[in-house]
Amino acid sequence: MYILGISAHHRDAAAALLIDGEAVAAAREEHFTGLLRDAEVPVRATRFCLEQAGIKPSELDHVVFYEKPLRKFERVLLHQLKAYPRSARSFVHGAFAWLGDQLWTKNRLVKDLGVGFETVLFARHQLALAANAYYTSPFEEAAVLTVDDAGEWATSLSCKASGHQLETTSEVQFPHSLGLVVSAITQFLGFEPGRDEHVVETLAPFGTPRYLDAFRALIPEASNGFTVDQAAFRYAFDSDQLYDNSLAGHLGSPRYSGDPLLIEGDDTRHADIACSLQAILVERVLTLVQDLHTKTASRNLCLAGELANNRRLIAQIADSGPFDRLFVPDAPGKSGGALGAALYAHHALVPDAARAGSRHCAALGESVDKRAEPGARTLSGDPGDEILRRLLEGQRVAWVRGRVEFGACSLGNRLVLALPARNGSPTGLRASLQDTESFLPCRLAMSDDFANTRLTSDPEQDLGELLARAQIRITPQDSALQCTSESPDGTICPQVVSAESDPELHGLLQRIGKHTDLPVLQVDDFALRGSPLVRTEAAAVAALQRSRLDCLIVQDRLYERRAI
Amino acid sequence: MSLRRSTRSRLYAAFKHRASCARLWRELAASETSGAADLRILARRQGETSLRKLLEGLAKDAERHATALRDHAATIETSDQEDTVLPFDFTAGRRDETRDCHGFPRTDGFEDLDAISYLATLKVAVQGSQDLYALCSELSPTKDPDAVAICQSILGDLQDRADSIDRALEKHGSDRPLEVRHALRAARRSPFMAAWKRTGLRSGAGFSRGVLYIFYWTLMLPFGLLSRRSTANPRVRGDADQAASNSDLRSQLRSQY
Repeated sequence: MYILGISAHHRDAAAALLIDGEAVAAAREEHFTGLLRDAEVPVRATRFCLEQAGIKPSELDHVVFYEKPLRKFERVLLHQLKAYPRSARSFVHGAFAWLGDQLWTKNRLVKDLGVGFETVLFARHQLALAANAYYTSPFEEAAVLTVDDAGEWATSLSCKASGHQLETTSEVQFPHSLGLVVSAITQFLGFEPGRDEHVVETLAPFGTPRYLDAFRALIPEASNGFTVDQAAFRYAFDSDQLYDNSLAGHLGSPRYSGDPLLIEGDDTRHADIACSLQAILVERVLTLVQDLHTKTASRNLCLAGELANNRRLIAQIADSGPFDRLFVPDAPGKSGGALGAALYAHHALVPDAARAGSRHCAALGESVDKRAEPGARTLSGDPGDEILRRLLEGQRVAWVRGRVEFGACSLGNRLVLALPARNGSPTGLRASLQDTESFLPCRLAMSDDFANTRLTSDPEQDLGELLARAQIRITPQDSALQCTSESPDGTICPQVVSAESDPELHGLLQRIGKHTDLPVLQVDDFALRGSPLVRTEAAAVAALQRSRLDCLIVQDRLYERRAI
Repeated sequence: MSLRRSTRSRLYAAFKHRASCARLWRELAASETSGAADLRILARRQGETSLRKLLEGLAKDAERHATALRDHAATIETSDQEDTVLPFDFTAGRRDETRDCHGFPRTDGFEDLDAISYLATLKVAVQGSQDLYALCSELSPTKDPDAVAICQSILGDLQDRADSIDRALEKHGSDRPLEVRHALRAARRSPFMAAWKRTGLRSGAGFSRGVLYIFYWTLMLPFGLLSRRSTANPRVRGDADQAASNSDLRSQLRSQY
């Protein structure tokens, strides 16, 4: 059975193809268009998925969209009316998009993708996200929590999952949304909502939570989790300005893009806001987690939704939450909804189907070309030797191999690498990718055996499984590792690599350990500022030319920036 | 013959004088050389074997044509005429964001086209070249049999390529005849019609926004005022309630609500 999952219209449009319940291809539209977080109907990603499986659109059994368009329209329209007459501008803007396009999603999918009218199905948004987390997890039963911005009505969903069943236990409804509050504060701090939420998360350790009480008043606890004071936010009816000017009464004046960022020195107001936001997120999500644990009595938790991209939040849930094991999928946000919608439909339509679970692989995108680009030099020996030599010389190396990963971050196939500095100073790896926010720290790749012995002092705490998939921020117990931290709170973001999951990177780390006393590498996604992960060899070579990296290694081919 | 009037007039004028005729051959050679380079890049980026081979074949033909045309230009021109020429515009001003002066898909816009649109653009480009070389052959003076022979040889190559493209188009579009027809129509579209369509779309969008704005302040007014009076969340039914009430998963999946 061929099932295609589609996510579109909000951000991170993507397509994922299942053959008999097994994900064989999944891609984000941004990889093909080059537009970061592209929200258009993923025609190119779909074309790739079908080509990968060698089938035509007419052969698809089902195409599953990741939300219910009419139900979402109902929510949008009712909130536009409720905000009358403040919603005049956003109503025209929204109604134009809805009446001209989004309301006719079914026809659009049929026309653009060339699929049959009867094959198109619709999954509920939060259930699609929950299905993505649960059906790709290794658990036989689990509690599932989604903490998202908005779908149809639900913004956060708690489920009890067992076998093939996903049973909803409770939900938080629009306009009470933690994801949208984060986006609104992102905009309040002068960053782009929907894109720079991770920047606000990174600002948190630079400040103190002196606005926590203000946030507690804005997001008070409620019987079903939390509510959001709508007087301070406009996101319920306005997609352009997400916060109300009255928010300045709580947090001071907003920062506009280009204004100085107050994170160091006497005035750390912006960092304090970010820190307080992070603290309230942890409080409210931990309440949801605690409530879910009480209701389900499960040991396992699957987490999805836009807030599952928040590394510090996941770390807090893993550390302080009541669950023993935590699973976060490769793409917990909107793009993962495409895969989740397909998985949900598969398990709903084929009740006795087997689950992919731990067999699920993240690298589902396009593979690098077999043909070299101009300027390539074929390496005679092992590419790992060349990478090692260059890293030891202090070079910054881009490494591209295999298929591109489905998630927003690369787990190994599209990486830039450098040896970490020991004094917490940045190695310039991010700056070499045109990143302007110098405070954004890189990740640290390390082998699983090294992580198990050096990351935590608690032998009972098994972080390996979680760290292999979700790149969370933790405080290492090892002093040598603490020295590599680029974050003011001394945390690092480990990317744990096992010999089974990635023998090449694991081997490289082992060899690094023989030459230096610390077998770790500073890594980051091979993506220029404002661009998605590189997909093809041609794109990688183009990115190398625009970056300040020293060289690029694609399979067994070497490109040097100066030589191209 | 689908050549535009401006192209035809230009060719008629070029064949009146030996010097302008030589310049025309060199312009055509430059265009073929540049086209061959682009086709090689496109072929390298093309993942599908049959399409890649087709593009490589086209590139090889274009390089051969360029050599023949340049050699012939050298035989009929005097040394003082040797100056830099721009490539001949095969599209006769139909260049846009997807096609370059050879009528072939642009290398940077290449990934936006699927196989059918891509082949349709190629087909139209090859047809344009066929028309152009057929007219060149017809206009070549009888005392220049070499030029006629070169044009005929190029026309033979182009016919082979046109047949290959037809076969590929048939293979890729066998179950999508409507899509093929649309792609061919889009490939033949003139810039004037494209601009007209764009203008229509923009003015239509502006008009629609105006209507929606009036709609908001008139028809929506009573509903807006009524819903402002209600302080409760305006939800009708929660997602969980809806799921519970709809036990049939298949019908629930079919529903857009």
